[in-house]
Amino acid sequence: MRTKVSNNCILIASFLVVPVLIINNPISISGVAPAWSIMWLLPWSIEVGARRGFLSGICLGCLIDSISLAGISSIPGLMILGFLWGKLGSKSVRVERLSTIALNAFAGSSFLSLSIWIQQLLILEKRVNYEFFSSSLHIFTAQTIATCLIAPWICSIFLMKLRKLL
Amino acid sequence: MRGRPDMSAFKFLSKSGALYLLFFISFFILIRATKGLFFLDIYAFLTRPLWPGNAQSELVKRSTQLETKIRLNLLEKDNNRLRKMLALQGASKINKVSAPVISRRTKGWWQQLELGKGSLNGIESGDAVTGPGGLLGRIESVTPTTSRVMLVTAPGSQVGVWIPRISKHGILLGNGRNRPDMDLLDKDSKVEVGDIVTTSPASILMPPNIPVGVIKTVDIDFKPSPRAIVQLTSSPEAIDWVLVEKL
Repeated sequence: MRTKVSNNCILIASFLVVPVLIINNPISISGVAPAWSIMWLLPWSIEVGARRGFLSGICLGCLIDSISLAGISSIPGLMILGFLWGKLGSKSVRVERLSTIALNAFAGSSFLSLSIWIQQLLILEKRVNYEFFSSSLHIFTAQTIATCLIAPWICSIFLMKLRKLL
Repeated sequence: MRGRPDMSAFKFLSKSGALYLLFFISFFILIRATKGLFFLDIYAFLTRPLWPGNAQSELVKRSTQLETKIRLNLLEKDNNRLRKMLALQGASKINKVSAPVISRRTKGWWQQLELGKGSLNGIESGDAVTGPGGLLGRIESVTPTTSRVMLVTAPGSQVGVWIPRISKHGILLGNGRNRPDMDLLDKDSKVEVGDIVTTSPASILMPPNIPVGVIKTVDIDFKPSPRAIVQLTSSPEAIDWVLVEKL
């Protein structure tokens, strides 16, 4: 019973670390931080499955939206990613390989950026210009590279920890 | 016949874990709806010892004195113009609250600052935020001890601005880059590279005559109205203390 409680505390703490990292922004490439949400959601969804991954994506999205400017939401991107990675985890694929995690982090970061970018396009409507595209490309590239570089290490450690805890 | 209330639905929900799930999701929706009310307050409370010291605060005060001199000239001109036009009665009293920056995201998808003072210090959503150099943005949301600033560079940000040299209005539009766009409202405005841009003296949403930036390039042929790129005089990525100006 005591072990279960302490395990749950570790899991909740790991979840709350994500917004703290987003607020603190300890690592960045050219001022752009990696997608910290991806690094938590990827191993978590792989372990818990599609349905829980989907719900975790919604919860994490809510938390991130609460610390971000209104108008754009991470929820659509994260819930789809949670579902897809949950499906991936239920198949007998060796996801713990660093290359597989890096590939998934790349795809996830790109997808999340794309979902946010589309929302920005909808907000700006006719005001989209070269400057906006140039800025978006910069953020997209920097965030994807940062995520791909860090995710394999963090995700594989978290994945191993989760397999012990769950 | 008066029977006991049917609790089978509740029991089913409780047994299947759906009740907990519902509670769990409601909790996060609540956090989102309140814009991180408790979360950010707890974060601000825990990280208070790590906030920037008073040295930056002094720097902000000295820079503000310099900025005030520039603003004074603009205000005198502005006052004369207004007196001639309307003889407006007394400008509104401006209160300033200095606040530490506890988090900054200036180059990602969201371009915002998180300040260590909130509604308990009198900060309200819509207040202007300035730093050494001039305007940084506007307060987007507040919690009791923190407030969130939408930078003028953020996509979706719109601020009414003014070019004092030619006395023309424009709209400063955030595009995600350090240099926001400025839509000029007049087609034949004789704006030039190097012109100073300030907040509009006629604005009811912003304190008047706060320096914003300098015109970097101008595209006169841009349709439907000329467009300029503005180099901001403030630098949100380097600042530790800001001033929140209330109307």
